[in-house]
Amino acid sequence: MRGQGVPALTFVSSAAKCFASDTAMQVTTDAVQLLGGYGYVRDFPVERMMRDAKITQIYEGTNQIQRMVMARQLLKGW
Amino acid sequence: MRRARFPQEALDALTAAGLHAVHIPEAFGGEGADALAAAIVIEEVARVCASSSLIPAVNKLGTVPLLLSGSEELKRKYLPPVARGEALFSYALSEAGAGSDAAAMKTRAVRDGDHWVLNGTKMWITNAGVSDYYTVMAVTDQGRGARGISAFVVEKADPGVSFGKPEKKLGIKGSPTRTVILDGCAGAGDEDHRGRGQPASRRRSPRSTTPGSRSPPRRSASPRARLTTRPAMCGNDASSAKQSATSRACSSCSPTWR
Repeated sequence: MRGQGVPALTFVSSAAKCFASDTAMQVTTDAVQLLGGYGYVRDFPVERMMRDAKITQIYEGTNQIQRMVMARQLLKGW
Repeated sequence: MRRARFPQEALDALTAAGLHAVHIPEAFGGEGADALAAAIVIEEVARVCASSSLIPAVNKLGTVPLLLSGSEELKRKYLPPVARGEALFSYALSEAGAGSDAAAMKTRAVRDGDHWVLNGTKMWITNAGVSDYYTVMAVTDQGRGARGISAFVVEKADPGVSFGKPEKKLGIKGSPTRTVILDGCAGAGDEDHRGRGQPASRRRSPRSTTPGSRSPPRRSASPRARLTTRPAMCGNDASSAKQSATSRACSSCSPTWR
């Protein structure tokens, strides 16, 4: 793995970062909604998971940037 | 009471288990884990504490530029302490006006005789103030855009290095985020130690770090989702036999979650 060239690595890296973090946000937001008040109060961990998930869409290249990277790769024909 | 403090006990537990920086090659005293293994470690830690998962994640992020393009000497100086768990390594790229547009950075590294002098303010730096070492991106060749940016190693203890107050954040509160202020500090270079040589990675876009290092944060996103779909696995039930030192450390960032 190390040092090995991987085709489309740039595209796949961006796609994975974007997909995993968007999924984390969607799932945690849905979980808070599902649990209603219990999801929303600090007595239970779910609101924290939702707050923690948010950063993953922002750091290490925002998901908007990742989409630009993917688009650029696609237009280049990877 | 919410203190948003650094989960020291999680760092201690990770270090004791040899899981704080598994990606460092064996030649430098590390575990020699590949990207997948490092991602699994980060993911498993994030299952119980997202803040704590940033310890192995940022240790990797900070050291990847060094591994990719640092000199042997620089690697020998800075990687073994991280492998031994004596130092954390942060990554300093973003600035107030250069987040997504990293090439707009204002931090400059100027050659002064036989060393380089760094001036600028880095923002949103994960684990800043806790980490002993920092990979700092700075412009060395204006007019070349992203290609005119080089990477330097800066130490917390270096003269001219200081930190802002911890940011008050929405989440990952156990992981300190601060500005890093570089006021005439000397960046470590290739041929000699601190402030006495070439930049650690000359004329490489900061993006060159990102393909390899992008995977840890990506992995830490998925357990957030898994945790919520499988709350029984969160490990924060005090009576749970599965409770680990890492899961106990969660109390540091969310004391009411016991």
